[in-house]
Amino acid sequence: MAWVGYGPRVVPTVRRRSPVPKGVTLLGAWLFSLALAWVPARAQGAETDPEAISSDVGPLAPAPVDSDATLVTAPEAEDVAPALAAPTDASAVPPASPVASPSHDDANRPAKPTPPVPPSNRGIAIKTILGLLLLLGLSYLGGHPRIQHFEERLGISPVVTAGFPYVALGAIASLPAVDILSTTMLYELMPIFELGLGWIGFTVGFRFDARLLDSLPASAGSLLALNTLVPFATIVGGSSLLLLAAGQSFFDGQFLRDALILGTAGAMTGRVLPRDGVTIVDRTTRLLQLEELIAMVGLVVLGSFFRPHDSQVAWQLPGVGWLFLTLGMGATMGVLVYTVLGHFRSESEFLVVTLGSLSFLAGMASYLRVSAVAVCFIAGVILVNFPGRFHADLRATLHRMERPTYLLFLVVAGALWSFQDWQGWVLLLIFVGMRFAGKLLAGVIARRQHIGDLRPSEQRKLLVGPIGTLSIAIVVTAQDLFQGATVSWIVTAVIGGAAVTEVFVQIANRVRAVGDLPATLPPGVEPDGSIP
Amino acid sequence: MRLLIVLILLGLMHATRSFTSGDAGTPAATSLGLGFVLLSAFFAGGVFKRFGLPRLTGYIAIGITAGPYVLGLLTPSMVTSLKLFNGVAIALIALTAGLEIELQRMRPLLRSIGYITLTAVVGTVILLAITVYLARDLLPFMVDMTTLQTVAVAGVLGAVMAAQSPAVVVALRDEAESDGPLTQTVLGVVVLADLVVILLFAVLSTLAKSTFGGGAGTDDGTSDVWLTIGNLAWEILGSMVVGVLVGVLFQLYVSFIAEGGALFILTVSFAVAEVGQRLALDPLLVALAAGMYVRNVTTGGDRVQKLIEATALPVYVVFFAVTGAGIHLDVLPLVGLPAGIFVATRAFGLLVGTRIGARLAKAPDVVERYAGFGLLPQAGLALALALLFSRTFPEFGSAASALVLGIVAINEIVAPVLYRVALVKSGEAGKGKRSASRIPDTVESTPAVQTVVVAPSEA
Repeated sequence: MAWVGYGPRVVPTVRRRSPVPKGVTLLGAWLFSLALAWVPARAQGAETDPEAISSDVGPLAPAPVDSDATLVTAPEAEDVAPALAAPTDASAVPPASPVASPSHDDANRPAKPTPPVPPSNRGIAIKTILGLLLLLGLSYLGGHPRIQHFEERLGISPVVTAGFPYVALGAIASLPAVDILSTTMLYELMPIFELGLGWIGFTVGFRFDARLLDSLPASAGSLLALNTLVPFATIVGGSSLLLLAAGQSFFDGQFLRDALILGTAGAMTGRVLPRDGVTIVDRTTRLLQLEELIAMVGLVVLGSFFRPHDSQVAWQLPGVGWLFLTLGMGATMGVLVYTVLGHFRSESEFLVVTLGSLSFLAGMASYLRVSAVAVCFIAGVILVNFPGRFHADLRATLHRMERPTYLLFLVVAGALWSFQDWQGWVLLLIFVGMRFAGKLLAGVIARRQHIGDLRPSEQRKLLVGPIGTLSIAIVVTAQDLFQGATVSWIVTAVIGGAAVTEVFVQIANRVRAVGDLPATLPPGVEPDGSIP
Repeated sequence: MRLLIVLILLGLMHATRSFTSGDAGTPAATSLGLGFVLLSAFFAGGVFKRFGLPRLTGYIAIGITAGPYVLGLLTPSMVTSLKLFNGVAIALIALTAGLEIELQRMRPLLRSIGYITLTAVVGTVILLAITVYLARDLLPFMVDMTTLQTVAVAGVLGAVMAAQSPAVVVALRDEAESDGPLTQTVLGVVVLADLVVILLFAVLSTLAKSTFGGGAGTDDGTSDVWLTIGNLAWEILGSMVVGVLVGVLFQLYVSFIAEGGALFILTVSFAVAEVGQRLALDPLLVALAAGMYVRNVTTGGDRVQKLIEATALPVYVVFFAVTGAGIHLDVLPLVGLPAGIFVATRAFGLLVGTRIGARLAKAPDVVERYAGFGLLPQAGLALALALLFSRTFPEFGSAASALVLGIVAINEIVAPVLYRVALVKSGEAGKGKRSASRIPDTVESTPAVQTVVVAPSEA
């Protein structure tokens, strides 16, 4: 038969200009797919172990070893493309997860992660998969520009307030009756958290354009020190009472660690969004952004000086060594990512190199048990200050996925929230109270010493500012790196404290914002602080 | 520059891995492995492209090089974790294949596809079964079997070894931007061959199991033919029905919502892969039916295809690199001789069978000469069947699986190169439409990358 009837198909080009860049959606899809790739086949069907969420085992730390469980992936996963299934090397014991400086509660910590339990019930597995899809989908939708716009009109745009339902969702999903976010499941989800942490760090770093320094107010350094160190000191001082009452001592590494986490998380101030949706940008805006730098310093110190002691860890360096290693790793990887980002020629290639770079960066940092947020932050700073034509696309992509990542973290925080721990609630009150006291004290000192010469509205902004969203990343990092009962309390204090503070801030601003006029933006600066 | 980046990535990975001893099966290792695989495979693909080889071979090569059996940068646990991308990958690949099957346009090819499937695929199954039977002395696990058992097992192994790879065919077609009778025929044959091989495997393994005194489909050892038939019907017909429903879902989404379509498709692909298999459906068939429905019944085929193309590249990169990392190079020396014999037999059967089938169907010359090369690649299905085989016959399944793995390993490395050469020689390479997942010569003017301008050296 002669070849007839064959001809090239004409493919009509559909070009619809979407308000959301396609690459952004794709990256959302990718965060998704990572979770998808991880969760179902490894952890579906795993039973919830309520005792595993106990106060003496870190929430994201590996769950206890089940000697009856087999060290294999669920068979169903391999049915799809099982593959030249690489044999699991039974002799090779995975190294322990990160731990803080040795302390009494680390003695019973499991040596290796819980091997996933084979599915016992197909219905449970399907329910878990669909439930996770729903949670992740809601996180994605929560970060959608239209949803954000709607929230801004209601004046609840800050991620903590808007994200509180996600905390509730996480708490509900972790209930034994629902059993979607079990301890095992959360452990299996850890790769996506680590990628999310890297994403947040990189996003924050990518906003640190050196040109922003030009718009800093006078005495910025003094103001910055005052507005971070004083609240830091008051929070540490206040929370010390509870930590000491819990049996820690001043000379305990864990005490220092917990105090550092709390102080760092509370020292930052987030941006305020008035009810009418108009962002007031004034001289303090840059200052608040610089506070994120302080948070990064805190994270680098945490990751450098509170190291795991694991027999399988081959690198034995002093804390200062880890400090320099963290800085060097961030800088080196920044240059590498810059080189890599110069090699894409289509949207899908951009997706590959962006996702690959961030995953590699965050994975490397987490593997070495330093803060993925801090390392990716440094890389982001390097990248934004290098010339390149990828800036606009990358900024849009990072910005689009920032909020869904936070919301996902809130879901996790909700799932891990130990409501029954009264110490967490007490710490919450101390945290909020001491933070306000610290901000107040800093304001008084600044006014009396005439530091910065801020207008009353600017002073109030620093005083009654909400807790920065980066605080969420800090506590998630703490959950990733450390364990112990106090980590659970810190989560309650910081996440809950952020929500409480947010409510107060909204009330205060609605009462007094009438007379405030939006200040003009410095030339060439976007409302989010970036320079296009 | 790309090679330098690959070397730097290898060095960094080696340095990072030296942090701990052991397998390092931690979540951080998964993130690290994912990032490493994405970047290194992507750039290795570029290096291979410069040497006129398929990018896909580059992805596989970097997987092999960094995998547990060569450099050991990707540990077994990392590879196992990353294999979980496979479900989404296979669903996306099947969806793409389904979207490519435009029945009206392919009608002139149906005769060729049917004949080639019969002579090449079914013929090769028979040929391989005969070869296994004749070479049984080389296969220690068959020594103690009766003649009937040997014949039955040889039949099952013939079906397993003959399997093709739509994934590789679709990926190479995309990469070579090929279109024409050869491309379409090969795609049609490998898709149909998948169905045939799955069906043959199910029937033959049921029969073979009964020769060992056990029934298929029941746990108590009693043979239950009706149950087997019912399971098969559910798997095949049920998958097709569910696939049509998924297709309706896609059509509704692209028609009424559109925004975030790539995410939606990825999510549905995941659900198809993970939920489908737990309902005893075949994800491959579900996605294939969905794609065929969207292409042939609705008007949203092109839109869905564009969304997939924009999303597919990272999935493909990870899928093929991890497949390369999972190749058991250690079994090759052990099964080298019989594996070599079966690889040669399979290639002979497929190439000659294709020629015969094409001649019988009076297919275009280009199909007769080159279509056989498109049937050589192997990947997911053969691996899946090998695993199923080892589960169905636990007494000797693992030894037989090692043999199949050796065959797949050889075909996986060599066959993509051969098919790419065939596409180039046939003149169909470069005739296809461009897509986001392909490598364009100039910059696509999509909104997200409008500002990107290729550096002269890169262009």
